[in-house]
Amino acid sequence: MSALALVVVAVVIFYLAYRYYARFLAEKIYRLDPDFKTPAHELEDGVEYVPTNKHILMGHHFVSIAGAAPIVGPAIAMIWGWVPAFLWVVIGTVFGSGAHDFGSIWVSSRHQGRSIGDLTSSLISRRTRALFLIVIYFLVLMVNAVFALVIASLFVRFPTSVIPIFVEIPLALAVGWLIYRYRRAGILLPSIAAVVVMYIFVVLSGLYGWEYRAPAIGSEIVTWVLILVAYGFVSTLLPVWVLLQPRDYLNGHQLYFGLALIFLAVAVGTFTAGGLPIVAPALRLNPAGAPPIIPFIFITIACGAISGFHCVVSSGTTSKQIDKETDARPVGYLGSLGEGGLAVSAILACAAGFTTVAAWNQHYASWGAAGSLGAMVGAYVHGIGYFLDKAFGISPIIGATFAAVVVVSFAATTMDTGLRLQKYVTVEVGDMLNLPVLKLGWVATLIAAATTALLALYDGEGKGGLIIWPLFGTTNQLLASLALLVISVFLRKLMRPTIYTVAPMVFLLIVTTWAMLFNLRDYWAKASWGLFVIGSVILISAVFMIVEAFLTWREPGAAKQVAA
Amino acid sequence: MEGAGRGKTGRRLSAGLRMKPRVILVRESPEILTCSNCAGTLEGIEAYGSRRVPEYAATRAVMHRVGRLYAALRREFGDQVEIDVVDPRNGLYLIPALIRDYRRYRPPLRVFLKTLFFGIGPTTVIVNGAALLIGELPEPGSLMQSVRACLEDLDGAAREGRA
Repeated sequence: MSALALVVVAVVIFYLAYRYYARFLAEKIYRLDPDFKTPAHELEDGVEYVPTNKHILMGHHFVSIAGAAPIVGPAIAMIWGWVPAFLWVVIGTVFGSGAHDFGSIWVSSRHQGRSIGDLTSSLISRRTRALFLIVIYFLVLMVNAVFALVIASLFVRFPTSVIPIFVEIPLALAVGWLIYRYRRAGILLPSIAAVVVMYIFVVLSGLYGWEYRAPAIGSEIVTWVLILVAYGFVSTLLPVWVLLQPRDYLNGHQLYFGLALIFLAVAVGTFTAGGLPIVAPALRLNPAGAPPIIPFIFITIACGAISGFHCVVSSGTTSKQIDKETDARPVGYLGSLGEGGLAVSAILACAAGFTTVAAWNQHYASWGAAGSLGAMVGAYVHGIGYFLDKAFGISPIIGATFAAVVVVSFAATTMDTGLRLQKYVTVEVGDMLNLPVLKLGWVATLIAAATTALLALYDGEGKGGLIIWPLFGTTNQLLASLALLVISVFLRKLMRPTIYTVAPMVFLLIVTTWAMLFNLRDYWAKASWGLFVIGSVILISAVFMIVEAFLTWREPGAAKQVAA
Repeated sequence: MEGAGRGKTGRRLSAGLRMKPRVILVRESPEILTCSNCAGTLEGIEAYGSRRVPEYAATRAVMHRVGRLYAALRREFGDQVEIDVVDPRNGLYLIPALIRDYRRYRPPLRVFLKTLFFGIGPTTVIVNGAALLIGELPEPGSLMQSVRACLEDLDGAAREGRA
């Protein structure tokens, strides 16, 4: 089977899903009303509540939900073969993510644009809102740790990507100065010029083999994690306009350019000599050291199939700008399909980006081997390099350096954001407990950076990425279940069919609980007490949520009346 | 907010005129950050129950100033003017929209190119494909004047077309 055939299958399924299933949800379940006065009109202030053209809103929504996670998850899940990963991405996107993101916008727009976290306490209970906060805190902690490991692994595996990434920092600083201080230059030319300069360094690094290897403190990965956490500490203390915001402009170009280039390379490469056949095995039930495919495939791929984090953007931001309620379908459902497309691109690169099965096996030999996270994410990077070589004759090392730079740029922004979030939560805790020391910005940041480093390096060698990743996936899916629960409770209150949101919710609760029980047994056996505690908190949260869902379900009248 | 049709000025586009002036208010939103969603959006922390963080105070100040312009435009012109509020990172929408506006309203090529290459920024107001001030927000009065002039131009063009 060729890679292009897989693209065609995915596009056809996504098209049919949008045409029929999303329309069914819109007309029969959510019953979108084009005359409903959305919060954007009801509370129109030109600041946060602005009736916004659906095409504009789709752009805003998509850039916010896309990122590195829909690349990393499928790249890891390929260890079980390409068919399970592809099926879960497609089915999860169509029936899970689509209903979840679309439903989050709808339920929030029916409640004056309030966030899912806020609605949780209104529609279910205050206790569940506390659960929401716990889940978020652990999710952010794991995101930081795992992305630090992803970046470190890519730097070790593709050392030609180090210089372009470090060149990106002064470029972003310069762009930030031009945009926010000089102000006359606009953003288009400076940000495009910065990306071009960065890519010139990609080419030079590939051509001349400009590599940088960090001195090993225990291992090179440990050194990189420490450098990254130190960088995160400094960058989190800086105002957002200095580095975070300007780097975001560079990332935006990379997102669109990268996606377009990958699919173009697949289309062109298919018609070159030998084409782009899928060489990865269709199914591998027992790869060495890997946890069981079921339930782990469902939590290994979270973003790209269904991600709880989307409810934060859908309900907190997008819902305040929906012009007509019927726009929730193109914005929410198409946004999900876009992220599914990003995950499909990752599967393509990892499945067809190799010449032989033996070459593929080098990346997917074993789950737990040293550097296996880097090997699996490296499969994506290698695959993109192969596609670019095949389609456009670009040297594979330049292509791989380019792909590594894109993934690292995305992951670094996510990590920067996550560290800031942890800082805010710590300050908040300091406020609640009346501990002034925790309210000092640098102390809160230090705690955020230190906990990230501790989790990333809990084994002393920085090999724990593939242990933390399932924890991240589990927590993310738990958050998605929570959002689906809120949507389902509201549907039940309106006496409408709930099976379309309850089914994915129940499914996610089962797989997350199952996976976590398996993980806990493993942590116990290996005496990984820190992970055991984190896993236990997540498991208790899942059980607690099941109980809350059951109680709310039994007494629909107990769901508080809110403006609908 | 003003309803559809007639604004406070009582001005109305000539019957048969399909083209409305278009104002694009370009300003950043703290909730939009590419690739941030794997960690929730920054100001989304408020959605988690925390107080609003001050990181984006400058961005929020711009949002509020743009909000005042938006309200003034709506009050003055109602639905006679198309208004879009767009984040400058939304290039997928903005660039085609500017090209479309160039073809629609025919501003001078130099002005269009200047708008395209220098006008997409954290604070810009674009009227009929031409940036009013780059890197600064106009006062409501001067913005109203520009939009009024556009309405008159379009009105005149429509009358000439009919004649």
